[in-house]
Amino acid sequence: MASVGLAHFHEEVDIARGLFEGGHFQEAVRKAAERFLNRVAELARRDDLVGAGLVNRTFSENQPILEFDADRSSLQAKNRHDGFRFLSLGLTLAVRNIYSHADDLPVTENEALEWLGFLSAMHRRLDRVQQVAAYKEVNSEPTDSSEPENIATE
Amino acid sequence: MSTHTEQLTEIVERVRVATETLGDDDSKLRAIAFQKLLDHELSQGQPDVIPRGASHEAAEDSVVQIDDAFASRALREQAIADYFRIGSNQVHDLFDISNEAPYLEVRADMLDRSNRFAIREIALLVCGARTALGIETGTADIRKAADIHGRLDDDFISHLLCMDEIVVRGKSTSPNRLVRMRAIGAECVRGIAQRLVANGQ
Repeated sequence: MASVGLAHFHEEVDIARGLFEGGHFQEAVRKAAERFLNRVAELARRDDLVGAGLVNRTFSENQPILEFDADRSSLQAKNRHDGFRFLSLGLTLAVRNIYSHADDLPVTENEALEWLGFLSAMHRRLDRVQQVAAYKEVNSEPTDSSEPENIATE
Repeated sequence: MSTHTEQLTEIVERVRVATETLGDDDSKLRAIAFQKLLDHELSQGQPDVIPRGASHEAAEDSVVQIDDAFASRALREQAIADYFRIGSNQVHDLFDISNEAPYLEVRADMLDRSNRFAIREIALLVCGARTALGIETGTADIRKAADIHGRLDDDFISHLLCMDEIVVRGKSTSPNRLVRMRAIGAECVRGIAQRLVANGQ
């Protein structure tokens, strides 16, 4: 089996390369996790939101700003959407937040590489997400007006 | 009194009237019912977040729909500039934004020589600008822009369907299908827009 390293990871993870190669493993993971959230904010066009609030709003169940499938009536589509939100939330809480606020957590080179691999996979999935242009701010059920007139969606 | 305050007053009054029917026998029960009903009413139709660009001081305006956020030309200009990461003074090199919907206005010879790739550029620019302004995109919008720029051909839909940067949804027989920008499309169109404005569009 071919060995996997930073060179195989998503280009967005490159932001942590210098830190990783310099032996700053905790900071490398934190930086890469921060970049993931910033990319979500950029794609969602929501620089007013951060952290878990950003993830929850962006991948909201009923009024998402980013989505993988417009029709989430199938279990697979729902799993894809909800699962990505939960993974992103976990990344925010268990990785970004933890490594941002703790100085005494030893992160080994292997562990850092594994986290960066996870972040790379998250970015690859994020590549495929679709921007919902006419998303609604109000937390209500979607209406027909969220779709442009006379544009077929089904 | 602001509209927001008026709405709150109305809600409180409505809840008060509704719980009055419980009578005075159990004031504690009525207080609980009042609180529960008030919480329920307040949670109806309230935004879960403050809209993009709004300050906390302006939170009372947070029920404004995203569509209203681009009512002025200056706001539309800034939103498109942010999306494509170009200067707001360069937006006019690419789009006519005098109306709510942006219209692509680039020199046809600045687009790729190949029709397929020119349509790709047009699709990404049109979809990007409309997404920036919170307007969904239809294949008809892209078709119109391609036609105006002299790049429409019989394989128009095939060209769109080949693109990995966008998603075309809807029935294949529909004359106007919904087009959504993928993350990779939103990121790669910045380069296209920046190249066009740099080349003196």
